[in-house]
Amino acid sequence: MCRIIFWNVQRKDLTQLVCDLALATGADVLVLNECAVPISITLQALTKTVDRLFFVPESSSENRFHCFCRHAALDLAEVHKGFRTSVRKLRLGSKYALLGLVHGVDMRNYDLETRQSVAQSLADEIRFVRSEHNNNHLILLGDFNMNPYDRGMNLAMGLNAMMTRTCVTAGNRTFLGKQYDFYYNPMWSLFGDRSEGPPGTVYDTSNQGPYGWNMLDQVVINHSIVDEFEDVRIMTYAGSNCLTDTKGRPDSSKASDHLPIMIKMKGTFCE
Amino acid sequence: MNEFWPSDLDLNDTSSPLEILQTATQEWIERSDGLLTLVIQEAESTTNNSMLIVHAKHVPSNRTITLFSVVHRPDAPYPARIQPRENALPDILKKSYYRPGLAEFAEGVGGLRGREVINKWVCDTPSDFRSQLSEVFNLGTTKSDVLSLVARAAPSSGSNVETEGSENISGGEPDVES
Repeated sequence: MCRIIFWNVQRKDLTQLVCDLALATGADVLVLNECAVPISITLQALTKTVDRLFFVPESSSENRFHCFCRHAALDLAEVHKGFRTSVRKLRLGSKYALLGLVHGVDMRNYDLETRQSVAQSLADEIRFVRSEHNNNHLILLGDFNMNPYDRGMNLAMGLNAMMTRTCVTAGNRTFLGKQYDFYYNPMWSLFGDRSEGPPGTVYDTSNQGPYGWNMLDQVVINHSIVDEFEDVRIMTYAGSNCLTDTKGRPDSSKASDHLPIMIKMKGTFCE
Repeated sequence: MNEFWPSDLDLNDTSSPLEILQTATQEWIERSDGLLTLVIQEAESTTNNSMLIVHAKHVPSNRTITLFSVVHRPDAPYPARIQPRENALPDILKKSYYRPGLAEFAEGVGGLRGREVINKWVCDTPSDFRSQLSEVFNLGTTKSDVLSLVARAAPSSGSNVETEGSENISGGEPDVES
């Protein structure tokens, strides 16, 4: 099992919480977004308090993503740097996957159409990486700054990310004569209060957040690697520290306005 | 005597942006001794315009980085607009940057009149495109991105080697602004 945590830490120094989260979950990979703490400081804290084996895989995207890995066998070296993405090699057992870290443009400064356009650019970029590496085992993880129901997430020319596993079994769909790979978006299953865990990853009732809860932090998985996907959870605790307020919303006074998400992928590399 | 021939118009030069980028690719291969190349990805913008996304590729490692894109109408190669990547570097790492003053802020708040916006990256002719293309390749961000692409693949980078503790630190100490 490979546990990967993604957390937008809102430019705050949450180093202690990050370490507590890594320790409590046994995370193999940690990805921090909007992290103002120097990457070396976080790494020192992780190696000192969690596991001395943590290291920073090589990349040139450290201004956007702080990535920490516990096992060299996972690789995680950057193979492509895009405008707001960093694609890493990820070894899952005998398979090589590509882990695309994503940071979409923010909701306050960019309208939905712009974010949709960015999603389409992202999809173009992912198709390029897929073609260059001849590998469609893609996992996209990050703060997309869109909800699973936003058009950029599910248009064929966008990320083409569907609601259920069975939706993606066909592998791809054809639109205007071109084939587009399906992605599975498991975040749909975590919406609302009839599922385990919080209803989303961000709570926002301003004009950009009419539903209250938003699922901006997401993972989407290419149809070819859906069988390797085990689970995704929205985390409300970092060890014994609660990340939410009394109403169950992200408590930005003591942590971040985003809740972390943890995905579990199958793989036998660290067993 | 009047001159009615458009200045700068050369009927012998009708190269499209894609053709010019292919020439640039050849130059990159030659100048880097085969170490680097450009990969031109053809795509479509959300407004149905033609888009060429330009990536640099480190050939031995197959690593890539997106440099910029070029947009033009599907049925007409010009005008073409070069879209450099967002400059995500913090000011402290830029050789020079512009800091607006209070007067400009006040002008911006009070400015109700329209004004002409000049888009320097729009190219009307092949020669214009060549000139702007040369400029975008010479941007500091482009050069540093390409250098980091090559540097990361150097044998001394120690990728995939599991070492211990602080020896793994790749971030270095933070800069302090004086």
